[in-house]
Amino acid sequence: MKIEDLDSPAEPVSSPEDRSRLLAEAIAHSETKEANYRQPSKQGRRTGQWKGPLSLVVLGLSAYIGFAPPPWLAGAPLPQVSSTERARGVVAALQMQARQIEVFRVRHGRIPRTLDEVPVRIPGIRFVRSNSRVYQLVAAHPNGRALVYDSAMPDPQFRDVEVGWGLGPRS
Amino acid sequence: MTLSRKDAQRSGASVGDMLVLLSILSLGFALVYPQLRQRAFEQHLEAAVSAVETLRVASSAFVDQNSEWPAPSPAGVEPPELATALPPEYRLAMEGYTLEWNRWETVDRIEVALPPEPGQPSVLDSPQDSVPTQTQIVFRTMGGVTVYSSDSSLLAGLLANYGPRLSWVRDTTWTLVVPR
Repeated sequence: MKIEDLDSPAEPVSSPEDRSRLLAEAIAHSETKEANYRQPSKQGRRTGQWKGPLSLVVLGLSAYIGFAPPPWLAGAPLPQVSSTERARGVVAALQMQARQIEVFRVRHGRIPRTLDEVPVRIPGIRFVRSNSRVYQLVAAHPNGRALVYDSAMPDPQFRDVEVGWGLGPRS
Repeated sequence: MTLSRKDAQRSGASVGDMLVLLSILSLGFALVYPQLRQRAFEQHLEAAVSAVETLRVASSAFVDQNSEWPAPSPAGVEPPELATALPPEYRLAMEGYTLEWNRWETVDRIEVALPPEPGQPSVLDSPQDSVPTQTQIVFRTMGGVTVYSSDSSLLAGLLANYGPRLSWVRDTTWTLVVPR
């Protein structure tokens, strides 16, 4: 089959001049659009001018609320243990440890040589044995000083702290 | 710069829009953060109180049945006697705190009035200082729950919940006395 045997096209084929013209128009349109993108309208730039300052104001307000929230917003503060309550905790721990030593004394007829002999040992308490009958328990008070429980003459605060434990008079 | 502006304009959002959005989000977070923190703490405290109560109730039931408290166990370790009494999902080592079961023994010296000799007036009719007494030594045991936590607010919350008569805070521990 030869090319002359083919049917002629229903519509005429565009000429090279037409194609060049269409391509030039498309490029011109694209360049116009590109020029618009490269140079935004003054109106649009004017409308966005408030965004920067507004953002700074809101960010500043956020930082203020975040670092120093006002009382009406912060709500109730989280509970904290007061120094008085911590001091009472030291007294209670010493009293409880002394109770364990007294049990040992009644069971064995002597006071222990070290706290390792006592079944229950509360950490952070130092045991000082004065003689075969008297001992001291020493723990750190929250005020930085040492609080001493003397078995020969316990301070009344040690008796007071165990009110509520449901115990009888100490041996 | 030209490309990013072009892209932003094409997508409809500019750098300014993003800044405004970011600042509004940060403001919203700053406003709700105190409430979120408070709520998280309350949930944490409720969980700790619930864990303490579970251990306390199980131990009290054990002592009612067996006349003695469960043996003390190290922090985070479930007392073997309570293995069946505690819920299967119960753990003594939780996120932020660890529980420990204690058993303390005490000795009390009690003055007991001796019964009157035959022919003597009864104790109730005699002056108090004339009644002969005898000292009796009574051993008692108490249960105890200790919570170890570096969160002082949690310890303070536990202290406020159970009161200072039966519990105390020392260093990073809160201790509860469980009398029988």
